[in-house]
Amino acid sequence: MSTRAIQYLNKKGINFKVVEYEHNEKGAEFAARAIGFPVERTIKTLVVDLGNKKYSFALMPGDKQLALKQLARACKVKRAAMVDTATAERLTGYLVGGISPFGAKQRLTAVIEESLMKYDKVAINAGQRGVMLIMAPRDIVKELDCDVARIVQQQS
Amino acid sequence: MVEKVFKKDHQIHPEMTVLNIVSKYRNTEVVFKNYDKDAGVCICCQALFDPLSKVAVRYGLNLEKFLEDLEAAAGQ
Repeated sequence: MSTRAIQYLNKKGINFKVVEYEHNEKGAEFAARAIGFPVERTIKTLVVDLGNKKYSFALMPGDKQLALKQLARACKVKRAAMVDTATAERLTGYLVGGISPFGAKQRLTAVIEESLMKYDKVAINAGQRGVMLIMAPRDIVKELDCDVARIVQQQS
Repeated sequence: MVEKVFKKDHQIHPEMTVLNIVSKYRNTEVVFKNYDKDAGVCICCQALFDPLSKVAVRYGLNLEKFLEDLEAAAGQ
C-alpha cells in the first residue's frame, strides 16, 4: 500500500505504521472502530478557509467539534469557516474521508488540537479511504510545522 | 420519503452533507447543536460527511422538521 502521504513520510524518514480497514463509512469514528483505536486519538483532518484565499488544516480528535473562533484566533485571522467537500478535495487532491495533511496537492498551514499532544501515538489518514497511519503527534507537528492550540468546542 | 420532504425552492436538500451545509450556511451550526440532544451525539462531530437523510434515519430525527429548521437558519 502506498499513497502520496506514505511516500512523503518515507522520503522524510518518519516512523509510522500503516493500518488498513474496510471503508464502509466516512469519518473518524468509523475508522477508529474499524482499526480498534480510541476515537479521541484518531485524528480527523478538516480543511478551513481563513479568508484571502488562505486555507489551513485543522487536526482534530475524532470525537470533537472544531471551534472556528478559536481556530481563527490561533491563525491570527478575523474568521474561519469550514470549506465544502469540493474545495477540500480540490485543495488537497484527496477524497473526503481520505484526506491526509501529508502529501497534499497544495501545501497548507496546519493547526493541531493541543490535547492530542499528550498521546505517544495517534491515528491519522494516509490519504486514501480505508488506510490509516499510526504515528507520534510530535512527528506530525514537526513535519507540518503545525501550530498547537486549543481548537475544540466545549461540549455541554 | 426524501422526495416528499424536499421542497424545490429550498436551499438545503436531504442529500447535502452536514459539512456542505455548515460550510455554505454557517448559521445552521446552531441548529445542528440543538439537534444533538435528540440525536444523542454531536452531529457535527460524528456525522460531518453524511447526508442529512442518513443522519435523520440513523439518529431517529424528523427529517421534514430538521430541513425546515435548517432552511430557516440558512435564510437568516
